[in-house]
Amino acid sequence: MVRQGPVVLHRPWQRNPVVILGFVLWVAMLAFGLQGFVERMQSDALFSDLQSWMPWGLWVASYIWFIGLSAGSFLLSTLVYVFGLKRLERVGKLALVVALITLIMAMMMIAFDVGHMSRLFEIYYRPQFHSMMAWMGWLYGAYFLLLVFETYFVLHADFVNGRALAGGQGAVARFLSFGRRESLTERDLRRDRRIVGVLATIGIPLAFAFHGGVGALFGTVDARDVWHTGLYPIIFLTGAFLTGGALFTSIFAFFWPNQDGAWREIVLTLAKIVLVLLLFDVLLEWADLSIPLWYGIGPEVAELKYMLFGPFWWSFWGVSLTAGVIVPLLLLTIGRNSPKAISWAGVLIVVSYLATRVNLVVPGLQSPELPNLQYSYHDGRLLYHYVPTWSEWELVLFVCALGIALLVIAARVLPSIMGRELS
Amino acid sequence: MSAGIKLSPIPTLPPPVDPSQEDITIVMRRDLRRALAKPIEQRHWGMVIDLQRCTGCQGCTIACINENKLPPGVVYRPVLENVSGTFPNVSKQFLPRPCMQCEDPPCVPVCPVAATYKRPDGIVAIDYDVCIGCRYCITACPYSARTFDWGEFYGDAVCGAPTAYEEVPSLEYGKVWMREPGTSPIGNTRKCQFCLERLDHGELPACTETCFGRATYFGDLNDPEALVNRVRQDRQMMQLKSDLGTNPSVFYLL
Amino acid sequence: MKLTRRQFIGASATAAATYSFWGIGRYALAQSRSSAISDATPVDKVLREEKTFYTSDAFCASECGLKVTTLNGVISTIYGNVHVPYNAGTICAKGGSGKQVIYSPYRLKYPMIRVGARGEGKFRRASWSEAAAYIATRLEHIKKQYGPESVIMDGGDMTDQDPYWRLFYTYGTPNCAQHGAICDTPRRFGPQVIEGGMRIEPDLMRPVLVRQPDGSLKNDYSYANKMVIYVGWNPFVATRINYESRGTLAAKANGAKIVVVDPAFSNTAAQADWWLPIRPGTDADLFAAMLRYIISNNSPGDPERNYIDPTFLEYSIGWPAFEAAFRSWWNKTDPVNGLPYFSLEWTAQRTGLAASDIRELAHEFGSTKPAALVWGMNGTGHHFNGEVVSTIGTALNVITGNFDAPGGVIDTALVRSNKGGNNASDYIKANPAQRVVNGKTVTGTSWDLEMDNNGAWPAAFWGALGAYPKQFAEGVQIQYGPFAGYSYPIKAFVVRGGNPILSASTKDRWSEVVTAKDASGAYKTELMVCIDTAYLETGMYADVILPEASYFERMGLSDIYPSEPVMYLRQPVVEPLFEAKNQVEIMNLLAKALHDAGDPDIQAKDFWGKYHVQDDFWNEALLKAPGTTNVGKPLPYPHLPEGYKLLGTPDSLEAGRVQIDHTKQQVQGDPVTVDWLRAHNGVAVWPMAWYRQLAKSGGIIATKSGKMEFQFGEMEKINAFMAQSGGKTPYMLEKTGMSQFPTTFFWYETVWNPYTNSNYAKYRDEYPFQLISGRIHQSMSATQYVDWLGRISEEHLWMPLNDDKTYHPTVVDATGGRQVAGVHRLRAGAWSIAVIQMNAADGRHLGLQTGDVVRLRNPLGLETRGKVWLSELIRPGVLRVPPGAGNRMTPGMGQTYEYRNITPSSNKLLDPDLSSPITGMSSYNDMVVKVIKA
Ligand SMILES: Nc1nc2c(c(=O)[nH]1)N[C@H]1C(S)=C(S)[C@@H](COP(=O)(O)OP(=O)(O)OC[C@H]3O[C@@H](n4cnc5c(=O)[nH]c(N)nc54)[C@H](O)[C@@H]3O)O[C@H]1N2
Ligand SMILES: Nc1nc2c(c(=O)[nH]1)N[C@H]1C(S)=C(S)[C@@H](COP(=O)(O)OP(=O)(O)OC[C@H]3O[C@@H](n4cnc5c(=O)[nH]c(N)nc54)[C@H](O)[C@@H]3O)O[C@H]1N2
Ligand code: SF4
Ligand code: SF4
Ligand code: SF4
Ligand code: SF4
Ligand code: SF4
Ligand SMILES: [Mo]
Repeated sequence: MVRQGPVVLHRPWQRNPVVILGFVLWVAMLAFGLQGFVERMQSDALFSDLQSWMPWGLWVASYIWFIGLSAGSFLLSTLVYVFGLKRLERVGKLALVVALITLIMAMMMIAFDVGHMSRLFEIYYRPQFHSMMAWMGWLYGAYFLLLVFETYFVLHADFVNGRALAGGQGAVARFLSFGRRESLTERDLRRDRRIVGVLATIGIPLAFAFHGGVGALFGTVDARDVWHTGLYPIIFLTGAFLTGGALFTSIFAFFWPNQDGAWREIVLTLAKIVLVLLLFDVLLEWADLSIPLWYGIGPEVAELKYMLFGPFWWSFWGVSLTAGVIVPLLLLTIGRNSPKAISWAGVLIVVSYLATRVNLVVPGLQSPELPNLQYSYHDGRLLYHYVPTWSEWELVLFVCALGIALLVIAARVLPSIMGRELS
Repeated sequence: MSAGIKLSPIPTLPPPVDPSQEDITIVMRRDLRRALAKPIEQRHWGMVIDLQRCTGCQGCTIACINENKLPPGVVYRPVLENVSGTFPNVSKQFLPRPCMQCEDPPCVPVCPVAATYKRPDGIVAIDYDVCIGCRYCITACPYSARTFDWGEFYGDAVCGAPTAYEEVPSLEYGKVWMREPGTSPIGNTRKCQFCLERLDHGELPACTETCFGRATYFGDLNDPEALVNRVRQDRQMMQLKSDLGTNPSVFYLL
Repeated sequence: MKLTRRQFIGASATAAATYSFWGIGRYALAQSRSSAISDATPVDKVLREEKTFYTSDAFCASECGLKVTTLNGVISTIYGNVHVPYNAGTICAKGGSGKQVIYSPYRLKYPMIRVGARGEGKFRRASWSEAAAYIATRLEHIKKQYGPESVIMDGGDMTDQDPYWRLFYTYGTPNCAQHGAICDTPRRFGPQVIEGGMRIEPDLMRPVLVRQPDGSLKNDYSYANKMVIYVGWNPFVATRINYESRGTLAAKANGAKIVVVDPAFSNTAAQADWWLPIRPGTDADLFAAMLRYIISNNSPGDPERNYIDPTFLEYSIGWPAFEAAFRSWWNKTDPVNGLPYFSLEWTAQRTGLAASDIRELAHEFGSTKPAALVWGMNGTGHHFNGEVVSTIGTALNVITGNFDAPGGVIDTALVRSNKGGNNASDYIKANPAQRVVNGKTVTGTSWDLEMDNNGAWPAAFWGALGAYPKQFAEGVQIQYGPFAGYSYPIKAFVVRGGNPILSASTKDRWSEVVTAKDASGAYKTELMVCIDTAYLETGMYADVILPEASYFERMGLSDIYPSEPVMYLRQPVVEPLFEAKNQVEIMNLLAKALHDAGDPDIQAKDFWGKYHVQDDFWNEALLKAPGTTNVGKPLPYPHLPEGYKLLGTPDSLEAGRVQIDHTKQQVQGDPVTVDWLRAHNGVAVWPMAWYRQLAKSGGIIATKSGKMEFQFGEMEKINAFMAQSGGKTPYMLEKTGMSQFPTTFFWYETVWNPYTNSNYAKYRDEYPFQLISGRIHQSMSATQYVDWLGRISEEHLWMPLNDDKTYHPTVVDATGGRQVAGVHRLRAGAWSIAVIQMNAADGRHLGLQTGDVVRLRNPLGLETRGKVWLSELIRPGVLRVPPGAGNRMTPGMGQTYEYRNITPSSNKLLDPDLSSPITGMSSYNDMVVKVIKA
């Protein structure tokens, strides 16, 4: 057998100043991120602006943001592996890998958020069937395993085929083909496809369950009027589809090595999916806001008004609505034939959705459960005024930097996910 | 059961002229002993706060911090002040707010690891050694009775390190807790536990013992003879947010 | 991540290099952290290692009995001592915060000697011996050059000043002052002249130990009160009389009616049945109206209007004269409103209350029995005419038969136990002194040189601290007594436990006089010593600062305002931190230094040779306990002779283990000692009785005549004394139009009040606000650094309006003040600061919102700044600020200091030239201001 050289991927950064800039940004992200990481590990959450009266903040919002990305990407992949959508066939693997990486990011994020990371496993030792959060833990566990196996089986053939590659690519392929030397037979391939199909099919309800469940985790809290609505699970799911789809679309549109006609067609298809999801998401958001606000009475009015017109009004009107909805809508409609416009729409949707997630979490905590609680005992941790600290952002950057690195590494060592056929 | 634990002696004072008018902390300590003699599942610890007798001094807030060695950001019994009306027709009501030790506590089912649980004697407890610090229960408590231990020290602001008194352990839940970074109860959610450790030794909760207005009563709600029950007779009462169905074990006399 | 603290510190040190904000030496000030206890130690073991102490608080002057536990020598818990009936186990927020006082890095740690200018706050560490020698050398110089009377010793806001007084009296100065001098003498004036007492409080302390018909002693928990009226007195927050918190509400639950007269809806008002939002400075008017109503409508046959109980005539003298003097005003008309004095309409005009309410109050007070009329600092003691209020107030309680009646009022000063040890006041009163006056050598006693009574304030019974700056500047002019015509300068000021530079009326005047220099550039006041536990404003001006052991580290005795004799022990709970020393040690150390510096008056036998440890000193003081007389109903000790003075422990008196001295009319049991107290839960309680003034001997009445004096013997004596020396009228008395001290009912208006005093009516429009103050749960100027108390808020005076701020905490240490490395951030809303409470409608009218910064400006052109808190809980036209909590200039105040520029101090705005004409008290609540948006 002839030893092949490493598959040389299309290396956009060699030509593209945007990508060079991206690399610089990534380095900065990592540098700051590391600082946030060290602080977090050293100081029992000291450097966050989290409050006892507002106990969840940027980290929890980021976590549901990441988990949404994962669920969305995964469901996109099921279009291929369950519903056999031919047109997207080439991107299925990437979608799965993105789902896996964003899931890892989400799990890291939530681990950083809790007071005792080392005890997270207690969720499995001490089952608490009432707790939505315990269910989350179990479902993530299941989902994680499922993703790992599904990804493995999707890539199985590629590992075997890539054994001869030089460098890291070959090493990874050799390791993950677990000693198998000969190419997979048609039967093997069929078996793999069947396993993938089964796993992906199980994955659908699982993804619905856990992401809808995240919504339910909030929605079931009686004490918080803003959260306590049946819409929350659905909003969470739509958001997940939307952001997952958007993320995937932009990754695909930006980084796909072979930007040919087929690529263009897929991008345009993805754009349509994203557009529909965006419109649906807007509809739900409208319902979620307009119903309680309509008559201007009721317990959640003050909190929602605070979100819309309080000191952070810009995060709703500026970030969520303008950058996250209006501009992407324009890009996706006027620029519906431009992969560039589409990919930027995706980026905007994904990034701005963090603000939307923050606005799902924080306003629910915004007003005292008992009147005048804020004047009873004072502390920097007993306020109804939460602004994420720089360190909190740094920790999010850390997770993002790691996620990006994982994705790049995955793309480098698993060329097939970027559409490169190995034979 | 507190079997084996030595009960602290009840202070002796000269007898009262009218036997029904003894010092209420002594009466309640006797009530406590009766309750402790029963199996745990037959007790139901409860608190009664007479809003007509609260002076708003916030001594209970501090007594609790003192007893439980609470760090910054953690408070078990703030006193809320509700002001209403316009001059000169105004009113001001003081509302001390310990944990309600709900009969149906929303904080318990949400806990993913069952670190928060309801004891047979009605106290909702937190197992600090299990609690992962997710703060879900904080969001679920309709009374904001739960606060998180962020690992801060009062000394941080004045000498950049814990002050001497912050190195004295808390004895919550009958265990010794030296607050050291990275170890419980740092990183845990904390809340009023009716001074469980003191109860076990036959002593009243800190806030009850020191209450400046003598406005706080404590005892076994299952014991009709207990002062907590006697003071409730013929008085208008309320539970906070009774519409939620949490059924608090803390009652307010109006 | 499981890190032990030590690893954590190591990690932090590494981190410090990386992150600049971590700051070098973040842990430099960390206190002892070695401990044998770990998470694995069983609770019972910890409890066994715990030590319990019965002691007494001194966070505020209420001095409640405490039960404190320590673990490894560090305070663990603070509870009340249930055996002390005064507080019966209860403690307030301050009492619980003691740990944060004791272990605060802001505490004074070492003796310090000034290196910068006075007020600059630059010091260096000194040894105790160096500091003592420094003080002694200067004191000796002053004694030789100017006479010992040039030294003022101010024992400050602490009741255990006796060791210092002993030292300074023996040194030879008669000028020793204490707390009362700055607190509330006008409010004590009435009780003082009428009954020889000073502090009228409601009979609310429960339990009280009462003799039963069967001879046994039992605790009485019942409340007889039917009505309690608190005027300008907020016991729920200004917790000076502990039992008034629980007692008031227990009595209320028992059917008593509670009335609060206060311009602000205080916490006490919040639980009262009736709130009367009176205009500040008009309490005398209200009392006078009540008295007029009661006198004119009294109808002995009518149970509805049987206001006056004539029994009082049996134990009083001079009532007819008093009544006549009072009635003589009824037909005069007031120049401000043209109405007859003390009429309901007149009072309504001035107090801003409805005439019908005033009538109802008078009627209810007169017809409800027992009832108590109680007045506080601000309503009375802090107004120029406070003496008028307390005089009428005392009369009202007495003539209605409420004096020492169950459920009525008790003059606690007359019934409490004696703890007055040997402070050498007898010595100084007898000590012969010679001075050359107008070229003639005159002989008298040192006491005759006392600056106030022989100078501008002959009737000041506790020192006219409010007028000290004048004497610092101009020297003391002796006008009366053998040394009349003599004058001497003030050359040294030794202050212990007081912060006059901030809390006296004349903040700026004080700093001016203590920094004044003579022609040669030397400070005119040659020596200023501050003995304190914290680094406060006054300390910043001191030449020497001595760190005193805190109240948890020293011994003392408490006997505060109970209804029956009670004495309890303050005992050291922990070792003094750093180099702090207790008062007896400091007394001995300074005495020794003076002796070594050649002072012939100071000898070992009176100090270090006599009091080896502090117990010796307090045992001597206890020899006088309880010192009350065996009178009243029920008689405390029926088996002992009635009317005899009682000395000794309760158990020995009870058992009859006594010696009876019939000539001295004294019963001596086993002497009370520190050890006896220790063995008895820290406290001695003697039985209670009522109607103690009815005893044939005069009982508890402490006037010269043994009767209540509505014709004031004491004032007559002072007038005679003045007359002997040429009769010059004291300057402040002159301002009221009187040439002599009043000897029966008297009246003059307060100052700076446009509604009642015609001299000030012109300010009404331009300066539309009256500025008053009200207590918060801090103890005056000393404890604003106490973290827990900064975290609570109350009274719309101390509220979380702090700005977001990042600062470097600064503490005083060996180098005389140093930044604690590292930065601390205080988030907006996370700390209470002093605010200006303003009526919400007034605020709207001025276009202000809560949190806006304003300047308050008075007609004298003085200003202070602060944030407003718009509130429905205060009368329009009145602004209220907390005393001692704003505009703090010492870094020793920690977080509070950081907000000095946005917090108000009313003491900056007071009129430095006015103090109450009789007692010399500052008029803290007499000022008008306008509000300027900053
Ligand atoms: N928590 C706490 N307790 C303390 C102290 C403390 O600093 N903090 N200080 C102790 C000391 S030294 C003292 S002297 C006492 C003081 O005890 P108080 O005199 O009770 O204290 P204040 O709050 O200064 O004043 C009481 C009330 O007088 C009102 N007032 C002001 N001006 C007038 C007026 O002209 N007429 C009437 N009727 N009311 C007026 C104020 O609004 C206030 O509510 O408290 C003692 N106890
Ligand atoms: N505007 C306005 N001004 C007022 C008042 C008001 O109502 N309004 N109130 C007035 C009244 S009533 C009073 S009593 C005065 C109070 O004024 P001050 O007598 O000056 O009393 P504090 O401000 O309490 O200061 C007490 C000092 O004692 C120190 N200290 C505390 N504990 C100890 C100890 O154990 N040992 C020693 N050696 N020192 C100790 C403290 O650190 C502080 O320096 O203020 C008066 N000033
Ligand atoms: S200690 Fe008692 S009186 Fe004071 S605030 Fe608490 S409940 Fe009220
Ligand atoms: S008050 Fe809150 S913390 Fe306490 S039991 Fe009820 S829900 Fe749980
Ligand atoms: S913070 Fe602790 S007690 Fe609360 S829900 Fe999470 S694990 Fe349970
Ligand atoms: S019962 Fe104990 S823990 Fe609960 S509020 Fe009272 S003092 Fe605090
Ligand atoms: S009232 Fe004063 S003495 Fe009593 S506990 Fe409070 S601070 Fe201490
Ligand atoms: Mo005072």
